Amino acid sequence: MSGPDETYDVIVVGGGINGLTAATYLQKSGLKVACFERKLEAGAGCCTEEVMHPGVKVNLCASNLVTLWSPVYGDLELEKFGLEMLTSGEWGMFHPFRDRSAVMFNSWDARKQYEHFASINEHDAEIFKASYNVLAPMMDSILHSSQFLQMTQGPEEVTQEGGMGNMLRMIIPEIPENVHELNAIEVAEAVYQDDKIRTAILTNCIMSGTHPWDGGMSALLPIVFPILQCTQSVTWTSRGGSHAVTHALCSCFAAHGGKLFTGCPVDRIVMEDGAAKGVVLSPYATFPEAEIRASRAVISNLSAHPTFLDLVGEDSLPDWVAEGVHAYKNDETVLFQNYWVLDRPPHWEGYPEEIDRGYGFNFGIESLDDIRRLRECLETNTLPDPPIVAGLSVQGFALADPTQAPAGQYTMMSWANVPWELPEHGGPEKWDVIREDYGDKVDTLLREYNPGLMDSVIDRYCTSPLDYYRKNPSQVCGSTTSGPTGLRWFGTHRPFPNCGAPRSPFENLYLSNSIWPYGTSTLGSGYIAATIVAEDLGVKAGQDWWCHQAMEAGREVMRARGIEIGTPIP
Amino acid sequence: MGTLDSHYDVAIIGAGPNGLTAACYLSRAGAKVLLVDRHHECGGGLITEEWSGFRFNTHAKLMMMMDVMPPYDDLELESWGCKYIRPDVAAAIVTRDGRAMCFYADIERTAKSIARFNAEDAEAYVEVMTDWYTIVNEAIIPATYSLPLPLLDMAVSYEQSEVGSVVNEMAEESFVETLDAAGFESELLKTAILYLGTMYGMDPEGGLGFLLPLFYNRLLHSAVVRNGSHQLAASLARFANRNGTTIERAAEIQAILTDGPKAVGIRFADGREVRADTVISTADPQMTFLDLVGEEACNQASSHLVAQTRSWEWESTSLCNVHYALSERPRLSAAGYDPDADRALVKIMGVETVDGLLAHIEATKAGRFDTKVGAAPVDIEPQTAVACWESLAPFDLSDGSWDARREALAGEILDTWTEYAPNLADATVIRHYVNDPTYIAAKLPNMVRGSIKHGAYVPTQMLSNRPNADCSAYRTPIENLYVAGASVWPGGMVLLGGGYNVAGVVADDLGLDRWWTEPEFVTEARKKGLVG
Repeated sequence: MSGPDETYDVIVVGGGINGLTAATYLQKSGLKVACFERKLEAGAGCCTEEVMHPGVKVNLCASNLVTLWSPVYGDLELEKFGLEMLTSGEWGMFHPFRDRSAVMFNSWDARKQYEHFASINEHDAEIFKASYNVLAPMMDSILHSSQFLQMTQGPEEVTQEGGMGNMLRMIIPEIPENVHELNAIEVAEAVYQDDKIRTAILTNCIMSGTHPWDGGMSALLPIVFPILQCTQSVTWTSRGGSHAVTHALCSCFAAHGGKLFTGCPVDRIVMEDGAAKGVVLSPYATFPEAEIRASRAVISNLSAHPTFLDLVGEDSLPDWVAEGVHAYKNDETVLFQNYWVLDRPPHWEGYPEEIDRGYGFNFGIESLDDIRRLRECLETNTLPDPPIVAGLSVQGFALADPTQAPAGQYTMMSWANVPWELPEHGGPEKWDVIREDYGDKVDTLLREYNPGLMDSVIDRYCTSPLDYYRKNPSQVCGSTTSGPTGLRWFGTHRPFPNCGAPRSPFENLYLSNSIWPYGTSTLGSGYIAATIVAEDLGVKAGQDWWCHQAMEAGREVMRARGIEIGTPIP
Repeated sequence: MGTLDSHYDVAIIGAGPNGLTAACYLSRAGAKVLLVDRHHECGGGLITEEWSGFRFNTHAKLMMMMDVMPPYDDLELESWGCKYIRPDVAAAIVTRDGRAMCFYADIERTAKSIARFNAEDAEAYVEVMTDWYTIVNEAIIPATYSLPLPLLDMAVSYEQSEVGSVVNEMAEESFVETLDAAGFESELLKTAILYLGTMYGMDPEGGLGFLLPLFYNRLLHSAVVRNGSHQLAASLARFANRNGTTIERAAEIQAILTDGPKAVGIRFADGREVRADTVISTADPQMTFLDLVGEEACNQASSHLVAQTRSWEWESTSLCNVHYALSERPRLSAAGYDPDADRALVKIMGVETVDGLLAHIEATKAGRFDTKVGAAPVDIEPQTAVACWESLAPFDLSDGSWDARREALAGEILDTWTEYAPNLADATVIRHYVNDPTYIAAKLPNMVRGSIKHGAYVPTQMLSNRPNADCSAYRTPIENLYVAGASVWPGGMVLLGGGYNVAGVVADDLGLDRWWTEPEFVTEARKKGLVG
């Protein structure tokens, strides 16, 4: 018989990349694990689909893969299971301005970054150099502890702490003494002289999911971000598209004997005496209404809303849990995607020639005023018009990996930052009605920067936040980060205070999504869930393959290209 | 790319329905099988895509043989996640004035719907269909899952039975002649039968008249796969995988390696080579022999293989599919006349006479695409509101290109739909997708010129002539090389016949255990001399 067995040690609900990561670690640690995925293909946001021209691979959600940061890459031998990471050029991110200038971020070489800043503003270049030389040697361990260890701090702790700010002020006197009371915009204004440099850096903060108008942890990002760029090498796709990460995880899971069941929506988590004991599949599942038991743990890779309200059931939640879940709602920025097919390689007429092979960019943010305009739009639930495209645009997919488009064709995408609600149009369901018009506005905006690029467009596909939600109901309000990302939900407060995530308020029930760190392709939340579950179940000891550190893989891949990242700037 | 071994018992090119089926049977029989496909996902035309949470079968939709195909039970596909659904209303032809004639697998039930239009036809229908169903069940379905008899043997052998001699007669007739012989009066009835017989590109005025009862009967029995056509491929892939088949995806084959007149392995486009005792190609004959084997090696094995292959004839028409994700389901006004019309798996719209249908087919062959005639295979998934449109289409448009026409088509066809389902006028189209012939050809390179069956169904390319007399028993003049795609008997349309039949032949040749048993209907047909 080929359907699910009656009982597994661990059941994972949802075959997104974090669920697959948790499932694979636990299976590899000797447990018997099954993963149930609603869709016909696993991977959720890490998907690549042919939704437009034949042969054009569309990375509908995850677009910039930071999987090389992850200890998972080495622990699960993702390379052996077919994952090949590719990038288009050393200038990973760039920020074009209407006057044909651009601020660029080098992904490999800090010295070139320093020289580039110096060509714009010498003072700002010195800020970069001083902070880089101090922070670069620490970046891997900062990354490891912030992305791959269970968070022990909440929003209060990080806002009260002077910490790194005090340390940096010793070398950068421009950092104000009250840095912990400031937000990122104020810090950028105090530290950098050049408005374009400030604007480009703060836009990158928005892109990485933080809010420059929040204080606390993100206040220092204007200093940290350019360093992160060139020490961690952030701009990658994988051969075949983002879905290749999913394929590698699925292959690894299967190779260790894990069972993935696709087309199997889970309707309910079986709760007995306050403990998770299994799952019941939907009547539409490949194995309709099957009840499968989990003797040791159920891990939900769905976000907090469907996990608690639908699968556990709102009626069985203590009040404080119900309140926490309801408060965990994306009232901030979500993303609107334009995906284009081009009939020639991207070219930026009049701009620095390096950016023709750049991987990603943002546009429509000319100054800090545009950042303030975005904040206002989000606070008032108004659609930015003209759009603000600070969510990442990518032109490097087919430049890095020709398999993502037919010969002679290239793909490009952009993510405009938008609110979910559309009160002025009559609610979020109106995204279907205004989608193509808003896509046109993004086209028009990009045309102001690069008319030639838009002339090379032969097809377009837009995805609204409503499309994201319908495609994956775990993306509540169209969230691409499994929930809100503001300071309020930092660390231990994600998805809500006292949850203990990845542990949940219920025995045997764990979360591998909607926990810190929020959804990216670092596989961090899956890794952390695996760590905590393995410790709780006593299977972590003796797994000597479970040993890699953050960025180990990234460094090895760069070394294979003859590049040593993170070396000091003389 | 995963790591491959250097040697396999069997290497199969193409993980479409036939390649997957062959892999399942042979790996279960103990062979070490490598299955290779250029796509990231298995399935060939078994494609299910999802846009904004709406699922679409963008290519293969209706499964004609699900209820009789031996692999479904042999491979226990249900337990591997493939479940077919057969709606009780198979088809409806809908008229402009808001009536509908409905068709069911059940003969009597169909007769009742026909009787609302023409009482005499209803009686005649029962009689004619009793015969048609018999030849389909006793001769053609068994022939689908067995080796084709050589044509001359077939003519002689079929004369030995009543069923066989009817097939022999029909083989000489055109679809139109076979239909005329049935003697129906109602234009609507005749149009519906001929539409179902020709909707996948059969020539109504060529020969092979026995294919009309086949297509008509099997479309009335057709099923859809729950959760999408791709689930059939996924279930086959799971079976193959668990039985040890290595599936290499996203891998292009550059050559079938030969040593003299023998196939010895395959070479990938990236230069990797794998040895194999047996190579099965499910590609079309031109790709298999001219591109992958190469003319020189073909010539060493056979003096006429290259010439035969060059003369392979693609289909004269292709298909255009349009898919809509909607805020509400379409509701036919004809449902007021017969509520079953709304539930019909296939709704025929825009044509009500045989002459009209023949003119439509002729116009299509001449390069014109008519947005007013088509069929709507309904999506019977309960969760989503989608509409689909499928109609014959030319690969080369006489006026303009598909690229230029594609976007406007979605609106034009929705207008046609709306004439029959007025509620669509107020519906929001959340997504649409036009899968025109050039898209089909680009996605599925064996469907050259949008040839959805890898080559025309014409007398010179059917039965033991498919793909040619030397290869129709799945063996080829090149030793150790076998063919099994839609270009081989019994053809395309997701019958799994090619994969099933080649597995038997290869199992015999390699001395593997034929672990499966022949279906009773084949054994019965063999007794009557109806199968090879």
